Amino acid sequence: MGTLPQHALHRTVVVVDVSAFSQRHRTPQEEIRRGLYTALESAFEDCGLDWSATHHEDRGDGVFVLVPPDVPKSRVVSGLPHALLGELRRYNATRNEDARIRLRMAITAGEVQHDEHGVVGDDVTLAFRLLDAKPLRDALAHSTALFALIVSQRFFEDVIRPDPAADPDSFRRVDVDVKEVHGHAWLHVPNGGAPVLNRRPTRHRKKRAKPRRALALLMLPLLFVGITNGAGAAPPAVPPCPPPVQLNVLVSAEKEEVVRSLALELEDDSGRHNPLGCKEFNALVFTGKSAKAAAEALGRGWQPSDLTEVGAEPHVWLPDTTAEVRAVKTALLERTDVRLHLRQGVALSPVVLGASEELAAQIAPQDGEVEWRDVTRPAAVDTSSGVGLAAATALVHAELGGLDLSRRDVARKLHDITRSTTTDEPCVGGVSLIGSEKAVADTEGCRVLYPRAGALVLDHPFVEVERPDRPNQRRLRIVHRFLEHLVSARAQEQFRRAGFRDVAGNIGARPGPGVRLDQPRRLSVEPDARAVREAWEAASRRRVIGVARDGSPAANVFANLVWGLAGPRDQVIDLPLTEGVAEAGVEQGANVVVLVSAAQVPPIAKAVSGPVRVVAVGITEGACAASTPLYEAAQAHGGQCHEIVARNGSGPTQRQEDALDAVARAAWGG
Amino acid sequence: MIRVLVPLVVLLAACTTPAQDDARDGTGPITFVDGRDTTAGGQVGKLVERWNEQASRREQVAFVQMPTSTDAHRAQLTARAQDLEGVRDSAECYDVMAVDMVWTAAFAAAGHLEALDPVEFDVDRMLPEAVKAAKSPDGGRLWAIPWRSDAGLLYYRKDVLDAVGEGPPTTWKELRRQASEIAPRHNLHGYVGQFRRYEGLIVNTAEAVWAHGGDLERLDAPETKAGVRALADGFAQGWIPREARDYDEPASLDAFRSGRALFMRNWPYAGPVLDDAQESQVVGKWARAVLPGASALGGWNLAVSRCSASQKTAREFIKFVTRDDNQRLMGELAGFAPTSRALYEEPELVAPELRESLLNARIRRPSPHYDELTSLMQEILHHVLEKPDSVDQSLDRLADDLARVAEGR
Repeated sequence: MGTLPQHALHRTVVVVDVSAFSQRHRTPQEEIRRGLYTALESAFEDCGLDWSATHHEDRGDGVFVLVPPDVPKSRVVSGLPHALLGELRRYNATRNEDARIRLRMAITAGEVQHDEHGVVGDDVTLAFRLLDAKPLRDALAHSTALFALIVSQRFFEDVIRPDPAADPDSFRRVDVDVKEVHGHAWLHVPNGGAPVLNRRPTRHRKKRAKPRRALALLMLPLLFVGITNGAGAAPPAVPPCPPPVQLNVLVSAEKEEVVRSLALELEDDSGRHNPLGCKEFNALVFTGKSAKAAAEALGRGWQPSDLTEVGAEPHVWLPDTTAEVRAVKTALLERTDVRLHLRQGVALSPVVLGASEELAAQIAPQDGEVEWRDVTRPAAVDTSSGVGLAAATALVHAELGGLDLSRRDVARKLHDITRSTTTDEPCVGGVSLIGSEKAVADTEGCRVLYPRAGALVLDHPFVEVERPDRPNQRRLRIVHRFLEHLVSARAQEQFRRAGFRDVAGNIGARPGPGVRLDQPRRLSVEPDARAVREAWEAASRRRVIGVARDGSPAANVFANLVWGLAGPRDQVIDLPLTEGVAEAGVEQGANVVVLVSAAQVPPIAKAVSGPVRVVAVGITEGACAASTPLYEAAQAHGGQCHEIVARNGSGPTQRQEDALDAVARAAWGG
Repeated sequence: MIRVLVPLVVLLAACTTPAQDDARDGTGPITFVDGRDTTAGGQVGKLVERWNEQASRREQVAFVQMPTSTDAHRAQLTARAQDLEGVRDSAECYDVMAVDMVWTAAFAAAGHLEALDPVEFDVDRMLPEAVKAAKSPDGGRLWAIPWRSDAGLLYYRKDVLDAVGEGPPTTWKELRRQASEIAPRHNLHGYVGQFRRYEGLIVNTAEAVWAHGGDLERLDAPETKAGVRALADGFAQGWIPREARDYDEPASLDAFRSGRALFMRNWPYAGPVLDDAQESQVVGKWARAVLPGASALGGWNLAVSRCSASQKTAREFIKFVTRDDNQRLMGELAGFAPTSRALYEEPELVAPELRESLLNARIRRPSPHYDELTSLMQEILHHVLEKPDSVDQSLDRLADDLARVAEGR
């Protein structure tokens, strides 16, 4: 269905409800449902109405039917009850009592409008109210009739009274007092005459096993009210509402606003569309502390400490990417208390680059596409969000040409990227911004550019969080409705309006600067969310590196290269190459101590007062042989010893690079 | 429809079958949940430790803290209780729950709580309004035991009032005069409170309405309208600053603490903050008094969950926590205002103005649909405060809407 509501049409509204349906066992329920449909369908056909031309909706224990506007209303009311009675008799004749059908039926007519949520109109609501009216329930309960029909005052006046074929005399006026409906309606019980409303119940007691059950059911809510609201409360004309189901929705910060508004909308709608007007659920929409914290909490089954640190236990999780879900699923493999069910995505958003107009003119002069190598000063990336994780993934993928994070040069390469990031304002001058299309377009001064190699796409999956130990069917239905709602035409429109792409990849009517109408080329990668986060965070750490060298030219050259590794936030300090060098490093706050020597060094003391890693670089043949002081020092502090002399096969340059990679791993590796 | 009745039937079954005796008399390890323990030195945790030291090994209590935000706290309790409807032997049951007094009716109506015996807990020794808020609206059943209470106070700039030879106001009229005449001469806002769109707005409005003889349960009454109009006029005339429409407790405290307001309505916790020389510019310049009218009663109750399999232990634990000696201890160590009346007779446990405020405090209307009622009221009242002309009409309409919401629709 389209997003625009259709014009209101004047239609006949029929609703039926099987009496005491949910008291039955499952098998008869299914049998009854089939029987009900067969009977209705046949009854419609019997009186010349095309069932397939009607709009009908299943209501579990009943059916809601809209008769096409071109069908005369009198035909419905003059033919249908009679035909239905015949069909019900036929069906019931071959069933035992458990599977027999008795119906309540209400008919109204009026302007009815369709929107993508379904059908709306005062007369639809009225039909449901009438279906619940006490006189109708009583009529069925106090008689053995197979069904009872109620019609609105206006329907009676306009359609039934003027039409002898509709047998107006078989209807009697009743008072109705259901919610906002206070007034009269008209009741018809087939099988001759008025129902035995005033008759004392003793007379038919033996025959009325089922009606008694229905009556008992009717009494229950009243009793309930008596208990909870106290004796002072007047018994309401309709059953009280059951408490709304609590639905906790954990959502990424990126979608928080739009999802909250959609959840509240559905929450309100649940009352409007519920036949009794009861609000069916309460939603709590929250982000947790961060996407990372939320994923970690989910991965350990949401422990009590996570309640205070992250928030309430979620029933639905709406992260930015499926990559995050995969990571949590892996963590949950060893647990039995929480299971995740990955459902479809609810929106899309490619990861793009934002640039000021002048930067965009430089790096993407023609088609709005950009090469990653031209991205020199990106704004800092925070991987604690799903979007940030994807941004980091895009940068890592571009730098490594893949996502193999086990390579020995990963720490150095990642540090090269993270050190180039800046906290200066994005999209001002040369500072670019990597983020979702939505966030970039929302940022002042940013023009959206697309990576030529393809963009990672945030797929915004819907994840059901199941707790097998305490299943809750009522909530599960709400969870499914929530998903349906999020992918409905109206909700998709809201996602587009908020700057997301809908699930088909379409954008909203007012795209930001540079946003493309068509879908950008897609880069399909499946990052390991946890590994990328860990690697990125490690590479972003500020490190202090102490360098101790023997003063030889080769050592000086290498020391200079170590200086070159450091980013603007890092610090490199000189340390004396003495026995106490490791402890001297600790005292000056060094995280890594690099020993560089062309000559023999004195034995290095192993005892230190804090954590430090030692990387040793020997510039003579055999400097790293076992039991040499360099070797021992590196061994004692979690590092390695590298010789960078030319030997067969690999020249000193390669060995130098390997040694620098090792220093980077010690400083910025996991 | 009948489908809707099923949960009711289930609930009803739970209501009418007197709790299975096994569970009612059951003893065993239990879980106690309360909000985040922000008391100095974690006094709630220590109270639980004291129980555990003296209780048998079978009846140890595990203390679980709930999310900081009240919405999330409530959502967690509700969802867990719904998950365990009809379940009796789950280790995941929150056997004893601390519930905000305004949630109690809703939790009880939803069938999550066990009714308690007033005699067993000797609730006659407690603040009658607090006990009333813990009972069903008709007073027939007791659903929880009042544990700690709270009431509002009027904080004022004593230095300023002293300088003009006046004392704190005892009526709204006087408050209005001082706020509109004295405050501007000292370059101060007249009055700040909590008028953001949240529960604090209901509390502040209720207090203004009570001070004018009205009641939020009679929204269309002239006295109620007068109370709401008094606030709206305050905004219109400027002695309540516009920005107070966005104030919650910390924001209003900040305005007063930084020396920008003559009067502030706030809870007792504000006192120690105003005395903190690091943060406060009004150290030694402020004092506090009772509000010029009744305060709204705040507070937390302890309830036994229906899912609890060890309800005897749960009740014993509640008795332990609400015992006078433990209430006294929590008053001294954690600053909790007690619910036991006897403790208000003891000098120095409760400050005199707080004592007076608490003993006269009134409750907000208990309802199973409190949430819906209050959010609807918040919406309208927040709007009305900006438009004094619309008070009459808006409150009349609100009265109608609330009648609908009161049915849960």
